[in-house]
Amino acid sequence: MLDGAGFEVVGEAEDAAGAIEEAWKLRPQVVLLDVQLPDGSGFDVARSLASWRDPPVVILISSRDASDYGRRIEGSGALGFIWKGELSAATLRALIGTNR
Amino acid sequence: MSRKRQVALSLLAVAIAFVGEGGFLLNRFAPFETIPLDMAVGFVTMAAGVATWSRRPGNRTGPLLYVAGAAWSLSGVWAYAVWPYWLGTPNAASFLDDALIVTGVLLMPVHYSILVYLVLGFPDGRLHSVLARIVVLAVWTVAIVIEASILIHPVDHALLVLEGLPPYPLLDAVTSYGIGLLAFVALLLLLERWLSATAAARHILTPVLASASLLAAVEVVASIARAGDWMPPDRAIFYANVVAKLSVPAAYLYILLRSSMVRSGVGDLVIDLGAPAGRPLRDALARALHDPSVEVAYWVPAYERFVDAAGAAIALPEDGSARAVTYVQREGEPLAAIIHDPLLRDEEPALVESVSAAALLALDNERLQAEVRAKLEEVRASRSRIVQAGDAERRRVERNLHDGAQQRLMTLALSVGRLRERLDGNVSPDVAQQMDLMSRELRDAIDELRELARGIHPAILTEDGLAAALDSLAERSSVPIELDLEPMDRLPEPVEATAYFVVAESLTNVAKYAEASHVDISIRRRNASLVVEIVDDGRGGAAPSAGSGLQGLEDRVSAMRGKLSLESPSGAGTRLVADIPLT
Repeated sequence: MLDGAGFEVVGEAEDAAGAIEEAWKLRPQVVLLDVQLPDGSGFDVARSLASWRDPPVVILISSRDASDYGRRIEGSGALGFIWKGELSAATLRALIGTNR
Repeated sequence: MSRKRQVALSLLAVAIAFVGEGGFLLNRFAPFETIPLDMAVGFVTMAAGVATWSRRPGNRTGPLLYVAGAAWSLSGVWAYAVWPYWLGTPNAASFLDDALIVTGVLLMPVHYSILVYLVLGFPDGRLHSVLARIVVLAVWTVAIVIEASILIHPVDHALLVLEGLPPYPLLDAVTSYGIGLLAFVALLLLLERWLSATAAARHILTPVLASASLLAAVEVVASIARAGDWMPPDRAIFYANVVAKLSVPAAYLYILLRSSMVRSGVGDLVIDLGAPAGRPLRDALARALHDPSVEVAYWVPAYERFVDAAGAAIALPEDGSARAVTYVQREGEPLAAIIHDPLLRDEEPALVESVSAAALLALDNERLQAEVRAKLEEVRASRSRIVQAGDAERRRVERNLHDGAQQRLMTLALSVGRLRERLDGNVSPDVAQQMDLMSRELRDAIDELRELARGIHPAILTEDGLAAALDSLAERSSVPIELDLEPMDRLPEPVEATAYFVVAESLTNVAKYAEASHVDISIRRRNASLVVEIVDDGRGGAAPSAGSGLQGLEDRVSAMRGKLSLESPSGAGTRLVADIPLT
C-alpha cells in the first residue's frame, strides 16, 4: 500500500520487542506502530523510541478510535495517530507534512 | 463406680491411714502433730483417688492416686517394729520385725514415683515430651537403686534402719543431688507446660501444675539444704513438705469439685444472656467455658451447612485436630456447634454439656439471625454474580462487535479510501460526489457503531484500566471536567467497571439535566474501598426514581456491597459519592 507511493518499507516487526530491535538496526525515518501489540502496548514502544538520540517519527495506528486513547497518544511521544480505516499514503503524508 | 464401692474404698482409706501411722503413735521422740499430718497426706491422696476414679472411670489417675496414698500410709509400718524401742524396751530381732521394716522401706518410694508420673502426665496420663519420660524413668530408677541398696545391706537388727541409709557414696550422691536435680527438671517441665498451654487448658491445668511445682520446689530446697550441710529447722522442711504433699491431691479434688459446681458458671451465663444489653453469645460462652478461643457455628438447614454469626460458611475442625466440637441439638435436629479446646471435652464434659443446654434458646435465636444473614449474604452474592455476569456478557458483545462488524466496516472504509485515491480525477463529478457521500455515510456508520460498542462496555476499561477509561470519558464530555485520580494499580474488574459506570452515568445525567458549567471527579482509595465522588455546579434536584439511571447505579453499587449517597439540593449542584469495597 505504501510502497511506490513515495514511501519505502524497510522492515516489519510482529511485536513490541521486534519493533524496537528492527528500528534500532534499520534506523527508519518513520515508524508505523500499532497500539495493540501481542506483547505489550504500542505507547510503551513509542516512548522507548522517542527517548533515542535521533528518534524516528512515530505514527500510532489502531483499529480503535483516537478518542479511545485520549491523552495517552500525546503522552507517548508519537507524532500522531491514524485510525486504520483511514490509513493510506495520503493521510500518512498529510500527517507528516503538517507536522514537519 | 457405685456409691457402695466409693464408701467402701473411703472406709478402707481411713483404715489404711490409721493402721499405717499407728506405729508412730507411741514415738516419744517425734512431735505429736506430725502424725495426723502424715495421716492426712495418705488419706487425702486416697480420697482424691476415689473421687477421680468415680468421676473419670476410664482414666487410670484415680486408681494410681489411691495406690500412691495407700503406699504413703503403709510405708509407716516399719514403726511397729521399733515401737518397743521407743517405749524403752527393745525386743529381740524377729522375722516379723524385719518383714515390717522391709515392707515399709519398699513402699516408701511408691508415693512420689506415682505422683511424679501423674503430674507430669496430667491430665490424660500421657508424657508428652521426651524429657518428661526421662524424668519419670529416672525417678523410678533412683527409687529402685535406693531400695535395692537398702535390701542388700546386711542388717542384723531392724533398728539399724534408724541409723540412716547405708553409707554408700554413690547412694549419698544420688539422694543428695539426684533427687534435687530431678525435682528441678520436673519444675521446669511443669512451668513449660503451663506457659505453652492455651487459656482454656490453663484454667484446667493450673491447680495441679501449681501444687506439683510447690512440691518440686520444696524437694529442690531440701536437696540443696542436704547437700550444703545447711539444715534449716527440721520443722520448717517437714511442714513445707507435708503442705506440698497435701496440696497435690487437694488440687485433684479441687478440679473435680469445681467441675461439679459448674452450675454457678452456668448461672452467670444465664444472667449474661438475660441482660438486655447482654454480651455477645460467643463471649458469654467463652466466659462460662473459661475458653477465650470458643467459636460458635450455626446450622442452616436450607444450605445444610454451618455458618458463623455473620452468616458466612464455616468449616468445622476435623476429628483429632487441635480443636474439639460439641454439637448442640434440639429434638434430634442440629442447632449449633461449639468449637473449643479439646481439653474441655476430656476434662470438663459436664461443663460443656450444661453450658450448651443453658444457652439452647439463645443459640437457637442466634442461629435464626445467622440463617437470615446467610441468606442475605447468598442474595447479595447472587446479585454480585448477576452484575458480573452482565459485565462479562457486555464485554463479549463489545468484543464481537469490534472483531466482527467494526473490523469489516473498517476494511471497507480502507478499500473505499484506496479506490478514491486511485480514481481521483478520473471519474465524472457526480460519481466523485456519490463516492464522497458513500465515504461519509460509511464513516458515520462506523462512528455510530463505535459509540454503541463503547456504551455497551468500553474496551479501554478492559484493556487499559480505570484511569485510561476515565481520561477518555473526560475528554469526550461536553462539560469541562476536572479529574483528580489517585495513582493506583489495576483494581478488581467488577470494582473498575462499577466505578466507571458510576462516573459515566453521572456525566450523562449532568449533560442531560444539570446545566452545569463544571464537574469535579475524584477517585481515591480509602481503607479497603474505592471512593468515587462526582460534584457538579448545576441546578441540583436530582433524585433516584424507579427505573432511572441513578436507581440502576444504586443497585449496582449495593450489589458490590458498596454505598451510594446523593446530595442534590435544588439550585446548589449535585454531589454523588460511591463507596465501593475492593474485596
